[in-house]
Formats: sequence, C-alpha cells, structure tokens
Amino acid sequence: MMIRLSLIFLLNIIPFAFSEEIPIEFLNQMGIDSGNKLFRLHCARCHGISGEGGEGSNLASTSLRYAKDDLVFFEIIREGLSGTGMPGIRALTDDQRWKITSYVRSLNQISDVKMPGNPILGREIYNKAACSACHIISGDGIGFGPELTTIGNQRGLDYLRESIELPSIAQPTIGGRANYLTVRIKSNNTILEGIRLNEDTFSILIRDLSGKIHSFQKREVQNIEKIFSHSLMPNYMITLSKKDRYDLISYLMSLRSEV
Amino acid sequence: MRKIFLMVLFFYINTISSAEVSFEQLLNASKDPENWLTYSGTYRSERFALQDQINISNVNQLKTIWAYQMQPSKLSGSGLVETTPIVANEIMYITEPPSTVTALDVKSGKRLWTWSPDISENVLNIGFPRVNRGVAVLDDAVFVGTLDAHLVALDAASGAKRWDVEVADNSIGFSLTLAPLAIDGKIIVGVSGAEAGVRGFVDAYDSATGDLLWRFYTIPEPGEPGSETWQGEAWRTGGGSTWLTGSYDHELNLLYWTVGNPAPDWNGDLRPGDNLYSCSIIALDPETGELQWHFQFTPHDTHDWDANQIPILIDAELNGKERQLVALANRNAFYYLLDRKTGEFLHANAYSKQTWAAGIDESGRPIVLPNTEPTEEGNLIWPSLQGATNWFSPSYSPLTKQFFVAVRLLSAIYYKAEAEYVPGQPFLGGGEQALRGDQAAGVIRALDVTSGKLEWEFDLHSPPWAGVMATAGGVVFGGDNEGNFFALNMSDGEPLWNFQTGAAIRTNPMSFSVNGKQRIAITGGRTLYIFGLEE
Repeated sequence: MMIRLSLIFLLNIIPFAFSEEIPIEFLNQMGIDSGNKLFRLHCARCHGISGEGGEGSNLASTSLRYAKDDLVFFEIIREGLSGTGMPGIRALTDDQRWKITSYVRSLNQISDVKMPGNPILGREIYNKAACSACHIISGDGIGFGPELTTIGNQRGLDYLRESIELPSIAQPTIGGRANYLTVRIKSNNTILEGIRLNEDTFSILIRDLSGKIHSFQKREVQNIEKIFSHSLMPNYMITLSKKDRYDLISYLMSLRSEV
Repeated sequence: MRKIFLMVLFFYINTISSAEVSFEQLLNASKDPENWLTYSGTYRSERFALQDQINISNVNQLKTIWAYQMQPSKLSGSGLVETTPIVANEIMYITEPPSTVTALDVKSGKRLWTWSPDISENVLNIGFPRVNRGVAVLDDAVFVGTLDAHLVALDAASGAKRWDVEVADNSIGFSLTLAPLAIDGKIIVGVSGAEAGVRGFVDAYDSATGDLLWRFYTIPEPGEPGSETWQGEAWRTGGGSTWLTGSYDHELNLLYWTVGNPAPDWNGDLRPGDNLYSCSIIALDPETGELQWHFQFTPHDTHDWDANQIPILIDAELNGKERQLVALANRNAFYYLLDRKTGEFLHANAYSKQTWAAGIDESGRPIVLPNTEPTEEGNLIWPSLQGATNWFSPSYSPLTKQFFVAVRLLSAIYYKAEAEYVPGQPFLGGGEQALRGDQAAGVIRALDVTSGKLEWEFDLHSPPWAGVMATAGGVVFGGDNEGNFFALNMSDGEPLWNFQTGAAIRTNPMSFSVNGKQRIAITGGRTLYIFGLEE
C-alpha cells in the first residue's frame, strides 16, 4: 500500500471510494441493497447485522486489515482467511460476492464530508499542542496513543471531534476491547497508572505515563482497576479554541492513504 | 533378501497387531490409562484422566516432550484445529483440518502415515469453519468423517483406505466434522448443516463393510411421533444437525446423541411449534436406531442454541437414591440432570448468566420470558448464539463428584430477518451482534454434579473455545484464546501451572501414557504439544 500524506486542499474530501474492480452494475443502490440482504444471510452471524463486528471483525471501516482492495475482499469471501475464524463461502456466485463487496464498501464511505476548518492551520495546531508527544504520523512522534498516519481513512468527523473534545467517551476499540484502556495497578502497596498494552488470563502489560513498560502477573498484584470512562488524552475543549479544534480535526481528516 | 523380507513382514505384522483395538477394550477404556480410545476418553464421556502421576504437587514441573506442527492445506480454510487425539497401543491418531488423518509415534511425535481425502475445492461448509474433531478406532481400522460428508475407514497400520461411503450430499450443505463413535461392529456418525436447512440424522455403519445399518432422522416426517411439533413443509428443511460425538451405555444398551438448532436459526415464524427433536438429547437403540426417549432443552429455539454438548453419564446419589444419570451443561446456560434409562427430567439450574428464561419448570420446560426472541430492531439477550458453553468438552471427576465446564460470558443483540430456503445456501433468518471485548469474559466453573451448585470458578480473559479435563491427580487442565494451557487445583480452582502455546487453544486436553509415564496433550493454533514430567 502506498501511503499518501498530502494535505487535501479541497474543502470536500474525496472518498477513497469504490475500487474500479467492482463491476459497475453492482455499484448502484440496488446492488448495495441486494448485498445487504446477502450480508445478513451469510455474514451477519459473525460480523454483526450492520458489519460493525461480532465474533468476526468490524467491516464498517475505511481500511480493512486483510482486504487492501475490493478484489481481495471479493476473493476472501470465497476462500476465507487462513489462521482466522473466517471461512470461505463457496456457495455464493460471483454476482452475489460482488454485491456483498459493494454493500460492505458502502459501509465505510465518508462521502462529501465537509471539513470543519483549515487543515493547513490544523497542522500548525498539531505541532503547537505537542500532539507528537503521544502520537505518530508517518514515523514522527511517540507511540503512546494511536498512530494517526492514516486516521482520515479510519475515523469520521464525528469520531475525531469527540476524540478531541470528549476523549473519555471516544475510546478506540479493537474487537470490542478498549485499545488504550487506562488501568491502575496496585502492587507492593504502590499504585501505577498507564494504558493497557496487552492482557491475558494470567498477565497484564501496561505503559506508564513516562513511556516505560511494566509486566505483571495478575496473581502477584493487589488490585487491577480498569477505568473505562477515562482517557489519558488531554481534553482540548478547554485548552484549544473552537476554531483551533476544527482546524486540527480538518488536518486529521486529511491524513489518508490510497491503495 | 529372504531375511529382509522376513524382517519387513515381522515389522508389518507387529505394527498391525499393535494397532488392534477390540470392542472389549473400548468398553473397558476406564481401566486403561495407557490409551485414550474414544473422543471423550470413555463411552461415558467423562474426559477424566485415570493417571495420578501428574498431580497437584508436581504439575508445575511439566515440560514439553515433543510437538507436532500441522501443515495447512489449500482446503484447510481458517485452519482451526479442534481434534482430540486418540491413542491406541503406542500410536496417536489425529485429524488436521479439513479432514486429514495423521498417525504419530507416541514416543517421538514422528509421523507414521498421513491420509487426506480428495475433496473438491467447491466443498461447502455453511455455518461452521472447516474443522474436524478426530477419529474413532475399532479392530484394526481408523474411521474419519470428512468435510464433504463421507465416512472413511483406513487401515490403522498403514493409512490405506478400506472403504469410503457418502453419508450425505455436501452440495446441499451436509458435512461431517465430528469424531465418529465406534461401538460393537458399528460406526455411529452425525452430520453438520442446520445453517443450510438440512434435515439432520444419526447413522450407523457396519465397521467392516461400510454398509448403512440404520438411520434416525432428528426431524420427524408427517405421521411420525414428534411431527405434531411442526407445521406444513417446515420439517423438510428443519435442521437438527448432530455434529458432536455422543455417549453410550452398554448395560442399558442405549446410545445418547445430541441435536442442534432448528432451521432457519433466528426466524421462528417460519416453523411454528416446538420443532422436535431440535435442541434435544435423544436415546437410541444402537441395534436398530429406534428412539427410546428424548428430552428437549430449548423448544422452538430462536437463538441457535444447539444442544450439541457432551452428555456425561454418571452414577450418583440424588435425593437419597442411587441413580443412573446423564449430565449436560447446555448452550442455553442451564445445567441438566436426566435419568439416562428413562429420560425423566430430574434437575436444572442456570450455571451462567442468562436473560431469556425465568427458570425451568417441573417438567423440564423453560419458562421463557416475554420479548426475548430476535427482532428486526435487535434484542439483547444472554447468552450469545455461541452459548454459555459450546462443543468443547466438559469433564467429570468420579472421585470428587464435580462437573467442570468452560463457560462463555457473552451476550448478543439478536436480529430477525427474512429467510428463504435455497439448496446449498445459508438458511438463517437473522444474525447477532455479540457484545465482545471488554464486555465479555470467560470462566472455568466447578459444579457439584448433583446439585449443580457452583463450588469454585477461575476467570479467563475472554470467552473460551477450549474444553477441560480433570485427572485423578487432582488437576483440571484447560486452555484459553490467548494461548495459555493451564492446570488448576481441582479442590479450589487455584492455578498451579500455565504454558504459553503461542496461539489460541480450541481443542480439548487428553491424557495417555508411554511406558507408564503420563503424558498430557493439547493443541495451540496448529501445534500439538505433548507434556510430561522430567525423564
């Protein structure tokens, strides 16, 4: 995948769109509706009724981990994904697979979303607010929080605004699990706060506020407190003006990749 | 030259004799700690290891003795491994996805032979991944069900094919994913495919010839007992698949098999009635396949709560009376005890969180709460469609009278949608959105076998897909999605040992011995690990 890190100067973002691989006859609303029905029959059991994920992954995203383009997605429906729970569905015709592909792609379009501010000014706000102390864009910064290199593909306007104005509510998740969960661990009568990097039945791994990584065996600590409605991300509702926030959001929206 | 020939002949004969497993041996599997002869260890399906060599005092010293890496194939799809190895006279037989059989030397893990069926790349698997849960052994043969719905007999010594029968038509959704059950001269199998709207059945085949001896359809046709629980033509596509190995009582001459969901799964409007014998346990005469009794756990199921869980046969005192029981922790979140001679309902209690029933009435019928069916808008219910537990095995310790079960703490929003039957296509009528991640978890629970009361529990990070095995050494082995294979103290659930296998565990533990030394087996990802104490 080639990453494009250019700012988009247009006020309207061009969606990263249906790939040209989907035959044109399935790109209309009728094809999407047919795909929706097929999706409910074949896919919703694992991926959720609206593709939001369940036992299977969230498909309502602008970038799919295993399907770099529509043709790959089309093939995965038939072949499945080795090493995951995704079975191949051999019963479907090519037309049916294209309809499902068309429907799933329709879930993740951010079409004609108007930027609320100026992305060029937003880039300056990003630097002034020292966002790179916790985020990486194209290799620059510190990876305490989510990488933002292609965040414009992954998140829409509302989510980005919420992340900046109400970070405790906008918790990113992977497979339904909070991806940057704040945890407080009491061990040897000392409390350590950080974000959860990994956890299993026996252990938990956290990164503290200084960036240091700590591994604990659950049986050896006194208490593990998970704070689901809290984010270590500062609340910029207070420290940035509305205009600055909207410029910053516009900059983040412009960070996109193309296949 | 003659000397070499005689040596080869001697080796061949010796190998053949070592692979022999008589019905008598299968009947007495509970007295044979060297071997693991059936899917669940014995016909009673206790999944209980007789050896106490590995016990609570030394289990933390377990080491890997050998490992075997399974090879993915073009048809293995997601590659999930659900096999329970069979060990018979120093040979281990496993299946690799989708339907390959491999024989291994129990001492070294060295592959002796491997056999793969010729399966079309257009093979269907609707509603389940391309898995296989293992083989059965009887006399000098190994029996395997295949993804394209064949039953095949292989020579146990060489892997050469003896016979191959088509059990059902894969092009309309039938598959075999279960480990067959071998009894006296018969191989018993069930089918997968309810999500494709098949009409399920249990079959018995002659172990020597592959001839079909009898078939019992789990969905009765008009005029048969139970047909009054169906309307119109719904029975023809009624589901009721039989995809998990059953249990067997030789003295009572009864075969116990469990039956899956009715089809379509989530839209019950298309199949009014109780939909017998879906979501039931059935007791069959193994000679004729005739139904002796049945018990339905979830009448008119609309949540895909197959009853395909392992029925464990136990003898225990209940209300001051010694009883012959069958115990089953159902996907619908209730734990049941039935009289295994008559099918009489004796007890039920919730062993996990559920929000669909006020309880179970005196007849064993759930008291279903209003507004708990799937809807077009979605309806949040505990447990999720994968249930409070699933196909992976529970375990029973006859020494402590405890029932151990791996539990999935997961809810889901259930949706109803239209469903139209098209042969070879999914026939579902809805779906679910499981509330997974931080809203979900898992737990290993120990229940008192007769009261169903919780004795202890051990928390897991996520809803498990691995079974448990109790041992005479006072240990309960289990696995988790994060790759940990662990040992718990049977008396209080405290963890004693764990080993990171590196990949999700979706199999059941089992035990055997090599020259009197106990071994424990588990598969993490595609790697089969054999553990033992320091030599």
